[in-house]
Amino acid sequence: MDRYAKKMAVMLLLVLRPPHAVAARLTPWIASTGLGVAITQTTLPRTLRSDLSSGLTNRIVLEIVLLKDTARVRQRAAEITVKYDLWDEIYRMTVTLEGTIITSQTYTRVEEVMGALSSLRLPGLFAAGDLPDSARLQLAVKIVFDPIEKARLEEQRQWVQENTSPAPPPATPNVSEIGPGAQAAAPIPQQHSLFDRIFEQYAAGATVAGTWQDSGSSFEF
Amino acid sequence: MSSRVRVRAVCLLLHVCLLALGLVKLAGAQEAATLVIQDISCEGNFATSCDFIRHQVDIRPGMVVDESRIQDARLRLGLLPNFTSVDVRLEKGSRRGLAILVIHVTEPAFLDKGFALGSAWRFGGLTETLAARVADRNLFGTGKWLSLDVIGSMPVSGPTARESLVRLQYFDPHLFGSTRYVLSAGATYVDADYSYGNGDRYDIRLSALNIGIGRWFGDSSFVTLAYSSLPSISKFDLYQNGSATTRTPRNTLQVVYGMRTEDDVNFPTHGWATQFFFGRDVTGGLLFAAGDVRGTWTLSTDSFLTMQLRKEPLTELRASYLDEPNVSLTYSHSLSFMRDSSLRARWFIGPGLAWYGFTASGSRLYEGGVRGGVRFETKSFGIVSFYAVVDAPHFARRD
Repeated sequence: MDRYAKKMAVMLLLVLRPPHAVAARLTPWIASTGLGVAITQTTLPRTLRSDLSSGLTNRIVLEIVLLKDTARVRQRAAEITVKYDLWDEIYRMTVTLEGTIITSQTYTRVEEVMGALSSLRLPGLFAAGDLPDSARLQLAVKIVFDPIEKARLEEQRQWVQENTSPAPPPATPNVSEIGPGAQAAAPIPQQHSLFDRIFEQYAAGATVAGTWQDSGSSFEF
Repeated sequence: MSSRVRVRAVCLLLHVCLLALGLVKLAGAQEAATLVIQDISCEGNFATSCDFIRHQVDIRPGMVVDESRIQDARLRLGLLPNFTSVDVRLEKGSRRGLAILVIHVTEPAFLDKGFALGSAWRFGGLTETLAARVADRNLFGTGKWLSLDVIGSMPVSGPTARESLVRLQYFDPHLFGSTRYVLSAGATYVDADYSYGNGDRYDIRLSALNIGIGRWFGDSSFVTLAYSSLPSISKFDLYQNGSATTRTPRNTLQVVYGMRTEDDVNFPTHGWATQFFFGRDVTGGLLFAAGDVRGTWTLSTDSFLTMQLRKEPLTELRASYLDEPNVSLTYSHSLSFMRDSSLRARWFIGPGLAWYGFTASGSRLYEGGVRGGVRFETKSFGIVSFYAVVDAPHFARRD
């Protein structure tokens, strides 16, 4: 393959790559507080900028897993909440680890919040003494934006099913049809694709699912 | 007053002032923490009224902002077929502590379109049929339906097979806001003229009006009480055996029982669509019954089998089935080149059987045939079908 063809192939790969092809990058670090991780290059949802300024609480859940020889040995759950104060015009961002607040900060610009979210530092995930004796450890993370609990989604789906008419019954024979070729009420195939995706995530065994997610893993250390 | 008492009084006053200041600050902080909804506004709703959206969210002005309730409302709206996406945000109200809940929705296309073009080789002749439907499923943003069907058939060669049908249908899926009761009303005009190989012919010109109220039972069953009237009718039947056996009821009261578990009207993969009609001519006392049963099964990922049985109860509907037989078995298969697309397409083929008249001795005449074609889902024209019918043996059977 000549140089031009190679260059074109690389260009094509870059253009055609799926949006999640570049996963979040994890860099573990150890300090007196224990093993921490820096998470960078997270792919953020396209709607995040407007979501952050919605005045409602934005939730981001992180499932961090410590792997030993690819087997899961420890797990921690972190949660980030960001809420925009409509009158003070500030963004309050809080990071909690297993329910304990580890950082709480305010920002004045949405770009600062997005910058902080794309470059996170989570200290003290695992105490140094708790780390297994192995030279082949690895950290992995799953980041779920705007998580929706399965039970809540089921409940609302049930409500919608109970409170909307399933389809039109005809008053007289066949009035809702004129044959196989031209019938009304064709369902819109992609109507609930967003929620279907969330249900699919739960069906696949996910403990938490949301409208957008990213994942990544660190190098072995 | 001694100086000691004066000092005490000043200290007490200071305490009271500080306390009052603290209370004011606390009240301010509480006001900031507790937002109250001042109003609910909608964005992006071109076809759906904001009242409909407000009704669905179960949140009213004056309520304290409850994020859990807002998320439920967002999920609920997002699950409705009326919207493809829903975003919710708060905006500043007229003063601190008040917020406006803004619901931004994206609506799907509510205008359904459908076209069918068919060719039928029957009784030694060729007839072309063109059918079209336009339906608005959210009339003036109220969630009501209005559809217009137009069907026309013209013979190219062979015996007469001409038909014109226009039908306007209104449907309210939520009668008086109910989720169980529905209303349907329609007007139909038919002008049809057919002649058959055995010499039978019929010629109908009529207009029909109907109105019905239905109720859903569970998710899939319904019962409808309908009244149908034919204000004008001109009908001529000539059968080979000389007896015009069918009498057309002019004013009928019907009870319709139906059950629908079919997952999709145009591209079904499983389920049933059945209706049974029991009627009485209110002027003449004529009783009649009819039915319509359609079942579909998935054979493999891309192939399906549909069985259909049909008996038309009314003359006005006799000629408007797009050459569909009374009994049919249809095999359909997804088109492979559309598999990766969000739009669907299938080809279909299957044998069918239809009754069309009598012999001179009074036996019923049946027509066998094969009906096949393709059906596409298109962005610009809705559901588009092309079909062809070729008749095969004709035979008589004494009842």
